[in-house]
Amino acid sequence: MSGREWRVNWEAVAADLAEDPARPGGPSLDAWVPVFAALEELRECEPPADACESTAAWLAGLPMPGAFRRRMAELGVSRPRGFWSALAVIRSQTSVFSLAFWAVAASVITLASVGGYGVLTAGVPVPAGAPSLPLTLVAPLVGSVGVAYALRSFGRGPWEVELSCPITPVGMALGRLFIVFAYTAGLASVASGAVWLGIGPSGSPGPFLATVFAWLGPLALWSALAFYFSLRFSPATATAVSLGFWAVEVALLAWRPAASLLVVPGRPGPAGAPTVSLGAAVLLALLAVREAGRSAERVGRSAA
Amino acid sequence: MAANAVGSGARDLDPVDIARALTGDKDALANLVRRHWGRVFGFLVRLSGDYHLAQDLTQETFYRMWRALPQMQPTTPLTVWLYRTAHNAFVDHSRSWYNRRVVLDAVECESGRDPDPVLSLVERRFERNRALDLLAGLSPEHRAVLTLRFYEDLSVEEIAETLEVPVGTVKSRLHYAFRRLRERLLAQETDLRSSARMRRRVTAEEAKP
Amino acid sequence: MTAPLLRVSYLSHVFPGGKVALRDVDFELGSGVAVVVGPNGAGKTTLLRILAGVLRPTRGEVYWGALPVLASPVAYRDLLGYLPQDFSPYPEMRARVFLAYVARLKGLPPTLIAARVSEVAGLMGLDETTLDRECRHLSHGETRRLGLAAALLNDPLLLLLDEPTSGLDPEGRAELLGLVTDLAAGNLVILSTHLLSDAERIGDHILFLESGRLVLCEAPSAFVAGARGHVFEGTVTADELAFLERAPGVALVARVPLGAGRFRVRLVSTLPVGCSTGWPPGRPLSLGTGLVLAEPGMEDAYVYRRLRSASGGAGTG
Repeated sequence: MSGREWRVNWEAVAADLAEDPARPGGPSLDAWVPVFAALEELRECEPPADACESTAAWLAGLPMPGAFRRRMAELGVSRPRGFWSALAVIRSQTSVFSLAFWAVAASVITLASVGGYGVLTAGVPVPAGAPSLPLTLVAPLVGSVGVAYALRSFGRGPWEVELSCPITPVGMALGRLFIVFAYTAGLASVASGAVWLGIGPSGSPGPFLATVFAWLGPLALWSALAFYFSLRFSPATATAVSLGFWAVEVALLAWRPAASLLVVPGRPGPAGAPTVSLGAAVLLALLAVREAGRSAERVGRSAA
Repeated sequence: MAANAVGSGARDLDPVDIARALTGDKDALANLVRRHWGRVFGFLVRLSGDYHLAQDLTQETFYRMWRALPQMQPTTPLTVWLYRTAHNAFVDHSRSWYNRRVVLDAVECESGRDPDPVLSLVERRFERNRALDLLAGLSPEHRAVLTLRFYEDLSVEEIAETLEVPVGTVKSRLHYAFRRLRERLLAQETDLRSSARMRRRVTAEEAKP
Repeated sequence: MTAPLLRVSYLSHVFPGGKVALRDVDFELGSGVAVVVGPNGAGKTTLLRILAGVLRPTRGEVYWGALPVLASPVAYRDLLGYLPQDFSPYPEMRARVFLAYVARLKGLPPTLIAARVSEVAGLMGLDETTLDRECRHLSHGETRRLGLAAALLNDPLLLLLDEPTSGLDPEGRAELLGLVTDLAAGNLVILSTHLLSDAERIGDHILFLESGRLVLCEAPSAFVAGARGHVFEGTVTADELAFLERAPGVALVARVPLGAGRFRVRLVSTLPVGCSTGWPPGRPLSLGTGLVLAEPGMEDAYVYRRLRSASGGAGTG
């Protein structure tokens, strides 16, 4: 405050004090001057130099509740809907899969396709209607183990945190199933194409699509089997059941091919077992979705 | 740094900085602290008479400001809110400090003999400064009103809003506070003159052969 | 009184095996910190799981403002953060990746995820080195802080913490409790704890659960005041101590041997002051026996409530 401002301030205060009913018309400004002058000694209060900055820094380090929500509101950010929501779910679930999963799945499929290529180029006779036999054997295995691996957290570990997020357990489960199925099918398709192109149409045991459907049905069936058993019981149970069924199928292929689901001799083309496999897969998946929807009760069951 | 260095233009920035601080803008929060630190500190020094306590209470005041930001009403100027909060922080501290002192050291408290036990305890913290000495003779309620009127240049109505008391109460406290200060100042000057006359007489008597 | 943020209406839950976890739990809470206390098996975790949308109750309803939670679970979970008691992330995931994963689950815009992860990690004291470690290599304290960071990603209006301080050292506990207090400004934080000192330190409301029932929901001061007049301390002989240990309606909170067959005790009694039932004749259970009335603390109030529940609510409380 400058000297002139001091004077104005004093006059204003003195005017207030003149209203004192205890002393009507009370002491004049001059009478108050000694009091005001004495009080002016405390006009300047110099705080410690760093006190203000340290307080500002300390407060800045505290979490401002609601700040992030307000920033998002300012940005006009909203949750994706419909198709984009499904894509967002799938994108979020890719984080659940480790590098090892992608690598192992790719390696196994590659080995199977290399093996199949070797079998075909070596001129080893394969059963009719059983193109790409190694892929037909391996793809369901990769799919089922992959699905059980993907659902390893259901009912345990980070599951409670996941359930508390604004995403449905059905969405999470289907997202993971889609990732495993799509990845495995994609790898197997590329492998089938590579083998088929490598051999050439004349050397191939059948049309390209037939080679794809030969493993697609079993892949869907075994993946759905693992999906259902993972959600109904546990991923460990799903793995055991899937491997058990797969072992049985391999044994049947070796000794009683007619009873096998994986390969149906004498039936070239997309018919028969593949259609049955796909139909059974859809049914199992629907049952599994029902189990995923009841997952909130499973948490309680495990806690009881 | 004068407590009232910030003009009304700067105060108009408060709502902007509050809005930005609510989105997590740390610079905006720092601006609020820097803009009002001096006034709050000055107010608390005059209220408490203790620089160190004033520093602690200033930090407490701004912490309370931080907590209350999301619920702060845009109609209440931040300065009014800060003065009110600082005053409440001092009152809370006085109560808890007084209670601790009474429980821990009833003999030293002298609560049975002093009309205002809190005042007597606070008095011991006041440094030997004439203004602080004058203010020490007032109760915290009167000191608050006087400080806000004289140093912070708030109107009687603004003080009433800040301290959440009726305007009449503010006026009566203001009048009483200044009357009391004037009486104390006159009494001090009388004592000084008496002491001076006594010293002159003693000196004169000692100078006699 | 401002409108409550959270309203729980006659919430009950029975597990498939028939075990009753919650019975007609009914309460309202505004902003601040609510601490759920109670003995093991009281239903604290079940209550928090239901409030987190992780468990579907058998009966009852939960409202967040006007939003019926059970009918709109996704919208409700959008505004809450939850730290389970047995939180464990994917062991092979790096901490940063786990936080980013949860951020996606919570619907955070992809462009803001990296910055938000850094922000909450910084708040929880998780530095860059820690964030780059696999979750299996994190200490217990770091894992808890990771879980809390994940719960804070969406800046929740309702924060649910199940035993958040378990396994933390005193310094970590104090730091976390301070953070919880800061986060409660304008929001609601509900946490469960076994440590009554935590409840006393930061709780605005105490929810006392026992055998699935909500015994009370009140401020800590009222909770403690309820035990006033029922807490005693003093010096007793070995015989008197033996009697006190057997006496119905009496619970020893502390006993310290003083030697020569004497003990310093602190006890809670539901018996009226001056009552001589079962006590050696002519010696009321209060002043005059070496026992004097004491100012109750949180632990005393807790023991008193449990004693009253066990005695069917009898007593002068």
